[in-house]
Amino acid sequence: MKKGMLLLNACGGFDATILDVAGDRGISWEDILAGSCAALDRLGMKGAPREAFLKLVSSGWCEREIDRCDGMGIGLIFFGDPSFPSMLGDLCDPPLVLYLGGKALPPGERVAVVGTRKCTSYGSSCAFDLASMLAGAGVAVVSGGAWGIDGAAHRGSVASGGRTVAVMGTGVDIFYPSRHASLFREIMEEGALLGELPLGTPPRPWQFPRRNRLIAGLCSRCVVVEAPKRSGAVLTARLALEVGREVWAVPGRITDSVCRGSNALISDGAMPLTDIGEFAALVSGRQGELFPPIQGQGAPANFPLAPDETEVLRILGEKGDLTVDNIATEGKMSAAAVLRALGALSAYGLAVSSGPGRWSARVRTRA
Amino acid sequence: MNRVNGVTLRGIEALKVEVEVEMTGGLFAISVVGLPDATVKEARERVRAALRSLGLSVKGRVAVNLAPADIPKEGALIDLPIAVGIAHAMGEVRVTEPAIFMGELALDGRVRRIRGAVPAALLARKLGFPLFIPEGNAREVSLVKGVTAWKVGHIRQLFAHLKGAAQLQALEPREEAEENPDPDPDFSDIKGQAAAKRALEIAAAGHHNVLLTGSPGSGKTLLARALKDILPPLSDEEMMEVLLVRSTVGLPLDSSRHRPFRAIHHTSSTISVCGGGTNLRPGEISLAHRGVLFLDEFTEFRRDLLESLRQPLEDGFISVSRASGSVTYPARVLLVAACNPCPCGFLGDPREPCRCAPSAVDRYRRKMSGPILDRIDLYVTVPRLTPDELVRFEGQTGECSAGVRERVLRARKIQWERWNPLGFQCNAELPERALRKQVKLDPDGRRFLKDVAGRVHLSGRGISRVLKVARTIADLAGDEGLTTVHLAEALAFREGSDLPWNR
Repeated sequence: MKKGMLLLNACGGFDATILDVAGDRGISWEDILAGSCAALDRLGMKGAPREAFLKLVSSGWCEREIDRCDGMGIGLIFFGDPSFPSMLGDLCDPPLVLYLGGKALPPGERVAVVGTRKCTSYGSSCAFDLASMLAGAGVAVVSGGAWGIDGAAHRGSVASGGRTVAVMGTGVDIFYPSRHASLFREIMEEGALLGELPLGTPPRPWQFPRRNRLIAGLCSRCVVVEAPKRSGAVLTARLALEVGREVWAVPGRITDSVCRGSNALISDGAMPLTDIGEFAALVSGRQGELFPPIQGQGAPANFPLAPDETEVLRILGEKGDLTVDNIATEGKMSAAAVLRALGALSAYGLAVSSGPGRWSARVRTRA
Repeated sequence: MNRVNGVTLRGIEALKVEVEVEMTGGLFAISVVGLPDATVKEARERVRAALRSLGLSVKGRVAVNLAPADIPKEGALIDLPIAVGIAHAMGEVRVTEPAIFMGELALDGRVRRIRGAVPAALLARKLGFPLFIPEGNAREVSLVKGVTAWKVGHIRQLFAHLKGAAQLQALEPREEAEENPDPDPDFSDIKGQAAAKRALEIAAAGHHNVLLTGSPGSGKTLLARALKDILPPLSDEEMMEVLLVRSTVGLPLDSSRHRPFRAIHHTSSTISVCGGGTNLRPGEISLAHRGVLFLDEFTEFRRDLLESLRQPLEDGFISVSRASGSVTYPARVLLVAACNPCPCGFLGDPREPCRCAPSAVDRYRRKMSGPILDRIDLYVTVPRLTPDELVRFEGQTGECSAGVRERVLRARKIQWERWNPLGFQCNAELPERALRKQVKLDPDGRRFLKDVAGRVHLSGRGISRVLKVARTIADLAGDEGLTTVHLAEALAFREGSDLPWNR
């Protein structure tokens, strides 16, 4: 039966609903695996998937795939297994098989943090800090491993030693984007890489929207950080809504096109995420004050903020995207003094360069 | 001893070439032997015509030998000694003592400006020979002290001088004014950009190479040009080195105390930048010696070109080896590289949206890696000012270049006094080992650096860079010890602080 599920999963377009069809019509797995024409007809398999199926059966692909998984330490979770995440059962088309790289799926609360690949510094620092905060509160972060928001979310979680799940739109052994290879390895140390596609599947555009339904299914809450109107993150939010998950969105500037989709979600009724500390407290059910601070943020114990640094932080807190000249004029300081303060603040994770020569304050939970 | 001598160039060194002429009867022909190149062979026509303009017609077979025979001779500067040699062999003039002649002849007998006059003057000084130079080269040669030189405008004047009929004008040695050249552009002309100006001040003080990152139109080129004028003016010795290279390629001399500024285009060939070619000419990096070498659109440069800049940046000279020989040119430059933050240039801009795919940005950034980045100490981002900010900063009068240069000079002096016993001149030159041993941190600073290095993932090399830059910042302030204050400012220019918004 497992072989059958693996084969059906690999030849494209079949999800767990096929099991009901097989059961209802009384088709035996032996017939299917033997490639019996009658059985396949009754299963409703024809055309290209059928050809692919027969080819895979005749070439002994199934055994090879299982060997490969064993060799790479990749686990296979079948629909109906006790370890199969029950939340995926909420989907109308749950996957037949999940490939799992790294550790087991983290139990308990899982929050999806998704967004555009072309994010702003504001978006990526929000995603990083949110994920870091959630990790500190013991909440797992689910995302798609892509550039931009996804990557920042994974990094934030990893930085705080949290468990994070990257749901891959490729085979779980294919690191895409390849630049994130080291990130994926770090994720696997505590968390997991998850996917439904056979090993070695290269990235194809149509695989990613399908992957998004897994992110929506796996999480209990879905946070969209920054997303333009037409984007995978908005699609994920819609799918999450369909399976009854709470959808949150981080408010963005109404002038930025990368925030149109996420802001539209808020006006459509998504919860606005205005304080990451409160959100983490809500998700984890723990008191916010007990969380460890965001990884790498805050002045070191021996070096409290100097008056100049406090002043620069105050100016940045009022308005972002300032050049050194702006800060110097505003705070009546020399350029060298401003740079000194910025050098320290950026190292403490309290200020961030938000564009060439421009500085903004980082998201902070405690003043 | 042969009395008529010319010179030929090998690198920035002039070699003496003895010109021997034999005239016999027969049909008219001039043949030149002794590895002449095409320009030297063509000298025959120029020399014949120039002599004819004086009413001297050359008859019979003329053999011109350029000794030593195994060194290739190049350039038109050997026209004049051949003409003098033929006239001497004809008995028209008497060259009574060994002398060096150089110059290109026009068909009517005028003597044209040539390249390589300064190396020749140095050779003449070494040999103690008098030197005859074209009038056009008078200015550069006049800066070489201790050489007897005569200005030749027309070959007739030279012959009159050799016959003793009329004296040529002797060259007056000239002292170049010590005053500082006018800055162009001046620091006070650049509005806003306080961070970049401060970075350039540090770069000038410690001789740190700089990478400027900023959107198109943010003023990267202007800033790079302004850097040359906050460097201390050239000393006599440095001026001679600059003069030597410029003279070798035949570039005219502008204000000789000016630091050179050379901008190279990303389509330049490796030979044009590093030197080479059949006659082993110096490249742009040598022309920028003691000055600023500016690489705009840094990411567009071919990798092998950047690779070949690494050695000269480290050593301060470049060896060019070809089949025709090997020469060494000076190449101590302050490198200023500039690039956009992404292919379209607007990544992180508050106004203009960036149109690049994330993977394209990544590819672009990856081009910036490589060994040459190891030579860059200061990473500076240049904001593109909004119209609103431009108007706001218009009224401000910043510090002018002269003021900054004062501080730079002071800081250089402090460094020179500290490092000269160890054989270095400035902070950027310190090798790793000397740095760790000589640059002392107070205990607070040590703790601070340790804490911060862990947070921002500074590599070992990154820490060295922060230390070097911090040392220069302390020198600019005139502080003896290195403290957290200096380290914090250096951190604002650390590697990776340039583009962290795309982490």
